[in-house]
Amino acid sequence: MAASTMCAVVVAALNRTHARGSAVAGLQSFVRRVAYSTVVNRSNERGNRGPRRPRREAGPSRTEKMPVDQDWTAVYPTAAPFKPSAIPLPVRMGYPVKRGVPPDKRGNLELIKIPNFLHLTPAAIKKHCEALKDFCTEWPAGLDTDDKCEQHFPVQVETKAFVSAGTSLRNPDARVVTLKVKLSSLNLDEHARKKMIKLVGERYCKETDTLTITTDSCPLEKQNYDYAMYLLTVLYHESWKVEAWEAEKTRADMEEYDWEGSTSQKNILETLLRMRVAGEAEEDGSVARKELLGRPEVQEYRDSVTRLKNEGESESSMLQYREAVKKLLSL
Amino acid sequence: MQVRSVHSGSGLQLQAVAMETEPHPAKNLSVFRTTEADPARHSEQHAAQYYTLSPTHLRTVFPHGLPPRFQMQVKTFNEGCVMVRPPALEIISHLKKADYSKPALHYLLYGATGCGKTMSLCHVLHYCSTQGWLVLHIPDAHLWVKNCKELLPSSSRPSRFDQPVQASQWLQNFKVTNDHFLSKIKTTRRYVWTKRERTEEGRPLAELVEQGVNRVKSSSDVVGALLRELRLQAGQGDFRLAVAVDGVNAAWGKTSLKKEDKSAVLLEELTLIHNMRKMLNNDWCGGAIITALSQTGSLYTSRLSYLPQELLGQEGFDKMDPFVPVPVSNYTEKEFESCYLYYMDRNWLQHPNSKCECVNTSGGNAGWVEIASHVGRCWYHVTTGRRNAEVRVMVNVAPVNFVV
Repeated sequence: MAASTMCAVVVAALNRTHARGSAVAGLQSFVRRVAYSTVVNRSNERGNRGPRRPRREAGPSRTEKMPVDQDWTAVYPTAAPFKPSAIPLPVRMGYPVKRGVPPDKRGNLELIKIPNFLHLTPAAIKKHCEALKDFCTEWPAGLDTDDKCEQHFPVQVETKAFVSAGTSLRNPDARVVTLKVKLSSLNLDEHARKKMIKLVGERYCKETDTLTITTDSCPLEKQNYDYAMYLLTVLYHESWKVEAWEAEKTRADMEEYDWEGSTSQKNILETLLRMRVAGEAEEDGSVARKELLGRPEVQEYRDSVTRLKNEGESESSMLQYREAVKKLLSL
Repeated sequence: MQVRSVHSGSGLQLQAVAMETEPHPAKNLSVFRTTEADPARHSEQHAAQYYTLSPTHLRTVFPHGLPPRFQMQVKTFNEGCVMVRPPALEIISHLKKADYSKPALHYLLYGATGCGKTMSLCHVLHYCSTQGWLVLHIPDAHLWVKNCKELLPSSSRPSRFDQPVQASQWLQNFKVTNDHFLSKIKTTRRYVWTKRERTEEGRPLAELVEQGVNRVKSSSDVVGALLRELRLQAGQGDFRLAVAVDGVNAAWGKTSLKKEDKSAVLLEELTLIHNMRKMLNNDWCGGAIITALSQTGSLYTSRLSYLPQELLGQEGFDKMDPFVPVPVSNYTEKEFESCYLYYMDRNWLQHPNSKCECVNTSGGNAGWVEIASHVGRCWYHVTTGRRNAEVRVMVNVAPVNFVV
């Protein structure tokens, strides 16, 4: 009895101090001191607050009450963490320990840690769009195909705007402006087109015939947009100009292989002339040349060499060249 | 495992075999061989069959021309057998029909590594040699552009470099192949090598070659002079000239040689390469230029490239143009059967399952079949527990399908 009163006094003292660490140490030393007593007094965390309320059993989870055609946007109207009892999917996540299976969704911290997009289902997006419609104007009726858009609005400008919760509105990544235009929609002749492609270099994509100008040197988006438009204007006008030094363009600068005047043409003419001279009497040079070039075998040979040089090498182009040479040399 | 009897296909072939060989009890074994040793008489009916090179021909025609693995095989089997394949037959048929008063034609053998370009080239050269042509064989042009210990500045031209060792070695082998021609052909002008040494006009070429072999310092210039003489005189009709270059892409590639000041040597500055390039022009007549590409020894090229333009480059293609490209492909089923039966006949492969091993690891490429046969042999020894050398064969092959 003395022990119990002593216990009550000590515990009361402990409650008054409200220091958990010292309380535990004190309790430990207290338990050591009264280890011989028959009544082991369990530590009472609740103190004087009263007896513990019985733990309420969790009822059936919400998933069992969900109809199939429910409105999901009501379950997840905003971004919320993963609630296993509210999501009717048998999702598993985690490492399968000892060749087992990934752990269940109930009490799964991994599923709670990761971001989820359950608030952005197509139904939710539809609702957002419907809400945003009041702030939008209608799409022009005449622009119903991509080609028409391309025809009327050949220059496409892409910018990014960033929204974030923070103290400042500014985002330096928002200054980048990308301008895309197809060269076929610009008024360029052959020389201007080739010069334009040489001037822009890497910014031109041959497959899609698109010129892409990306500007980010100025601090503001408007400034970068003006700069991009200025660059486009300057490129256009410069490519139409013909400079004096452009007359010095060599075969190595040419974009495509041209058979006229190439070493291949020279070689074949020389070979054929020599073969002719060996067989018959010598004829007038230029006449023989024209006549040789006009022959269908030479035309075929020309096509095969042009294909080899322009398209690159492959088995089929090599075989075509082989057939052309065999016909030409009458093998 | 069922052995597919591919060779009992055409009755014509069996008839031809019956005519050539005397009645043999185990006839199916000799179907992969033909006794026709004259390449001039080879035709489609001998396709995928092995013919034997006589030892004298092996010594004289190919002192340096055969690929090293084939030379090992010749030593192992005590005979040199070459398979008759379509690319070589094609070139031989063109050579038979060509007009030799017209400029020389270029033939270029190309194909993947190990598919048989060098062996086809050797077959064609054997034909040329048996027909009495003068064979100018440069076995591997890559050897002239790399690993050259001695690089002397040329005495005749200040900007060029000589390779005495390579030139004199080549001249020695050239002498072995064409000894009988060297006494008949005469020089057309006087060559001055040093203050005391000169070769007069009208001397036999044998003297020129002797000069190059004995005086190693001027051997590169001797090679140049020799090539010039042959070029000039081939057109006169006394003899026909076959210029064969293996690894011709070396002539227009890059070198790994360096001058004394560690700057790179350009290909034009090498005397041997300069003269070889002049030879490969088709401004002479009375012969043919048969070449083969080779990626294996080439410098600064990707291992997977094998097409002509990739290996020759723009410059090489323009110089060789117009040429007849002859593709060499992997073994067909029939050719593979032949090869396998030949190896079995020579007791090289003994285990019945070695055939699948060869097929699986090689995928039909001729060079890899040979290497895979080593695998097949070792495998046999390993599985039967016989004490033999350890099996340490690393075979790294890309899966390539049979050509049907």
